Amino acid sequence: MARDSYIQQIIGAEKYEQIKYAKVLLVGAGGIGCELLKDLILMGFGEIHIVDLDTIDLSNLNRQFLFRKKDIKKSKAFTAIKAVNKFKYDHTKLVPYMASIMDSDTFNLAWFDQFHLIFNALDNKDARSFINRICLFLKKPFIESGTTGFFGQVVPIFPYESECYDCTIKETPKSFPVCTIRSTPSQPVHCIHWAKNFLFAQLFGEINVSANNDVKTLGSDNKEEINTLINEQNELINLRNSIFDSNSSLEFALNIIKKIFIDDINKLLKIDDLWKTRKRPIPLDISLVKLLENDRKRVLLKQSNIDEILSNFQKLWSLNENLIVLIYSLINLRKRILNSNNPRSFIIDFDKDDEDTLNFAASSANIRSIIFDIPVKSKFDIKQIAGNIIPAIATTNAMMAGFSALQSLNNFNVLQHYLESKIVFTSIESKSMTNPSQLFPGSKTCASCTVLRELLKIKDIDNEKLTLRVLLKKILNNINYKKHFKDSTNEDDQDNNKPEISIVIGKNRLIYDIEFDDNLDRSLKSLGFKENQILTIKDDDDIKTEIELYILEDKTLSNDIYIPKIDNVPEKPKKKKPKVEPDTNPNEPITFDDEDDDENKKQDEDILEDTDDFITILDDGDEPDSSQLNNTMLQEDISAMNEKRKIEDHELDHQTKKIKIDLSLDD
Amino acid sequence: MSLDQLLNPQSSSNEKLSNDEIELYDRQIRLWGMEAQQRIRCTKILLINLSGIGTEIVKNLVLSGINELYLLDNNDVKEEDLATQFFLTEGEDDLFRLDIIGRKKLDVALPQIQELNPRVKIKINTRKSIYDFLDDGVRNLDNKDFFRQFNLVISTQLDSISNLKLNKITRSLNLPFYATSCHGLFGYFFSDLIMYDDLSNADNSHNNHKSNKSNKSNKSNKSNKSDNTHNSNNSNKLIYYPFHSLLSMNCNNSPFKNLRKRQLITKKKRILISVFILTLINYDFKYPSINKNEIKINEELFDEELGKMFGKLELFFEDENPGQIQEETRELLKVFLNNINCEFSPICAILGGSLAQDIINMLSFKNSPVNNFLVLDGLSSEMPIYQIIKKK
Ligand SMILES: [Zn+2]
Repeated sequence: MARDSYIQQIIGAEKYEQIKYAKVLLVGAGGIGCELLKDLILMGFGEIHIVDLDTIDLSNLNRQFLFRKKDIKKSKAFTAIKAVNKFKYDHTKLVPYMASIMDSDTFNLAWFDQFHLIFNALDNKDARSFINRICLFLKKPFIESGTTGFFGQVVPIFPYESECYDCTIKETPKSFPVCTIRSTPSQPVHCIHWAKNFLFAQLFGEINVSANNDVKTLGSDNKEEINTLINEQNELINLRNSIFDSNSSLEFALNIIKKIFIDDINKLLKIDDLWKTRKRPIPLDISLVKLLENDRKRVLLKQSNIDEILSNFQKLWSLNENLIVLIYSLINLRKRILNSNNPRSFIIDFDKDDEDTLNFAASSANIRSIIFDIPVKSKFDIKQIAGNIIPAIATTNAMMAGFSALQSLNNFNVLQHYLESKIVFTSIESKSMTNPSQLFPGSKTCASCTVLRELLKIKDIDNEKLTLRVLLKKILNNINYKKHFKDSTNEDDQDNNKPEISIVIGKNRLIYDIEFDDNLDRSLKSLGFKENQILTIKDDDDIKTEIELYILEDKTLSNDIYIPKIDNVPEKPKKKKPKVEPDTNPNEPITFDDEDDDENKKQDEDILEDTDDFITILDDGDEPDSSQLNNTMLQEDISAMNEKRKIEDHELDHQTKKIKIDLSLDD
Repeated sequence: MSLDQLLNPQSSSNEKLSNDEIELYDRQIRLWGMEAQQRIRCTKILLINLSGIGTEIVKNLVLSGINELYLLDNNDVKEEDLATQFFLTEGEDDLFRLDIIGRKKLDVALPQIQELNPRVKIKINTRKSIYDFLDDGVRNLDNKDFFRQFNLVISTQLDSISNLKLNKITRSLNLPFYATSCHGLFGYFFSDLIMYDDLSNADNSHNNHKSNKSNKSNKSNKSNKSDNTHNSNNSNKLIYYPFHSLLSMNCNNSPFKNLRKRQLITKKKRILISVFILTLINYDFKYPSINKNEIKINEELFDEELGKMFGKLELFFEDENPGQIQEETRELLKVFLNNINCEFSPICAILGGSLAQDIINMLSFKNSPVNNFLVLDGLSSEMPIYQIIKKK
């Protein structure tokens, strides 16, 4: 039999031809990416482009099976392609890229448009949201996937036909009030957060004097506490200078220890109010510092002793051991600064894989924990919390990649009609391994898929004759807001029918509204028009749906500008529950201002408040880009998934008008 | 070391993991812990037939860091094996692949498998077929020694009679046994852990999981007479039933017997797929193929067998007589029969992933292992789990 005779038999020769000529994009060559690439290749897909910016790391090798120890530090995308070349079909073409998918200079909209289908195998929300938007512009289907530990999900998305990635609110990482971190910690994670994001950043990170010094961000109304914290911070800046002023590294290290763990704690203790309901911290015993100070012969600080402690990274270190590790890391970090080309401006970023920075964070967090009578943690555990490590295993990735590959067939209407594709969750129930559900319609309040998206093609962006006035005229001609305004004004008066719109380019640069017409005779080029920019058009009454136009240059155009005709811009969907500020006039115009993005923020909050539908797209096991996640993620993901499942069950019941029955299949 | 010893929480004979191992296995140790990883490192597994699912299982288990994997398969490479069995390759380009056709599968695959994780011992045997081993093992007790060296046995794409024999041997040696097959868009795995002390309930790290499960078991204790758990209240001893129970089903041990009418209708398709698979296992037992790992289907006989199965299970849809096959059912059956004996990579990946994970669950006590029959319906992406018990 031929190599592809099985698949021909399973899906039919005709459908197989479609797969053979399909051109797909795989974003991510990590845990799910490696598995998915293998599946797609074995299924005989015609052309696969794979994009990943990352290089291979030792901790990838337990699951990213296309990589070997000798590949560490090499490009994931290129190495993966090389590995699968060994078993691909002759007809399959593979194209790797080592780049960020969000780099629009490398990947513009036209580039994305060449694919029949896009597979997301990503590890961060930003990139997922980015692909979502691209696919909304192109109305291109994509399959989202993610895993965390034993759990995973696959979500096929057909833009404007089914729920998009942004339709469901993603969990925002937990944050702690500054005063909990700075003066009244009560959990190990508070101390770890303090060590990594405050102490380390203050000593070795970018100097940012103004940060966190106003009352609002400190989250406390205790004046005494605020003053103490501000002083503390200013003193730290002096301490940073002591990197250069100290006579020896040991002196530098001990000064820091004395200041942080004795002096600062004593100052906090003076604020009686703080300790009325809390246990009082006990500053570090000065005799311990003296002991280390007098360790001239380096008995405690002997390299072999240090190595011994560091090799026991799963153990809970004693106070003494933590002090030794802290001194050791401070000495190393100081050395790195002094040995750099430009010591005064040299900064070190915290990185969980940078031993010095991790040792620093682990030991200083633990010493602080001991002072505040909080349990200490092993360096192994602290690495997970400080480094946002999400557990990841081969088996879950293999299963989810399998489902992603399987669901991709529906895009070609193979197993079912494409809109009958399934969302697949791993199940925690004992009666089923998966929990598939039908696709949901897009959320009516989704900020992403309730926007109209079209292309704005410009023949020659450099053409100085193309002014904003020309563009505005074209917009008002082609985009019809009429229906809504018909009722309110005189029907015959064409001019009065013209809505008042505002135009924004890029994120929030307002270039036109009814009271701001200064730019009308400026050329588009001078206003910052270029390829891959997005133009947002809003009506000032905020009744009609927003329109986003993606700017493309197209030399083949017969006219200077092409905007598709939009006969009737639909009204903006009403928000469900206007919980916040119910008195606000919904017609109040929204103004755009470069310096003030509060308005956008407020909108986001509204959506958060309004939505009870809840989903978490999980990560594939690599560390997310976002630095604010913490170790509670997994647990929260699980409960979020349960939550989601409940909602699904509920909705399914609702839709099918069937009463939910507990299946007892294994009786 | 027997698996009982291996699983004994007091067992401390395990050497500690080296720092290198902890670094390599970091992302999974953070999920199932050091002790589970130590137990995984002590586990020796026999896998019969490389196959598509076998390839996925091998990949997952070797990556996870087991002690030893012994592969038994004396087949030669056929061209259609390359549809799923990605270890069957040599060299960087396609020309080399033609050279491997006709060579012993395991000879070709060994270097690719070993490369995945040099820490795992990989052994291959291409001299003897599984049938020789089984005949010897059944006839002559001494030959069981071959099986005794393992902690666990997995068969893939193996015929029913051989699975039956193999399970007899594994039971007599108190070895856990898994059997799995892929049929195009469909597949299953069966597991026999004989008696398993499920400690995952005692684990507090997955609160949701725990509460969810204890609710379930309370419910099932009330609603059915016994069988599900060994003792009533808090015992977590799971009783498993041998492969033979798949072949001796009737309305008394039917996994569908407690389904209400409405459930039969809403879950009809996935139930039908499950029934087809059970019928296939029975058919294969009754009409063994000459080529032992390739079931040849005679559609008339299969229909007959299916009718009997519906009758035996007292399973019928839409008020029709048992045994009478509906139009819709016939359509689905046609699809199913068309898929028999095909290997398909996404299905192999999903089944191979869930089976390997089940073994790790058994070793790590993080989740309860499947008890005892899992079906994958690739049409609906459903993976129902049934407990199929022995006929009383
Ligand atoms: Zn949406």
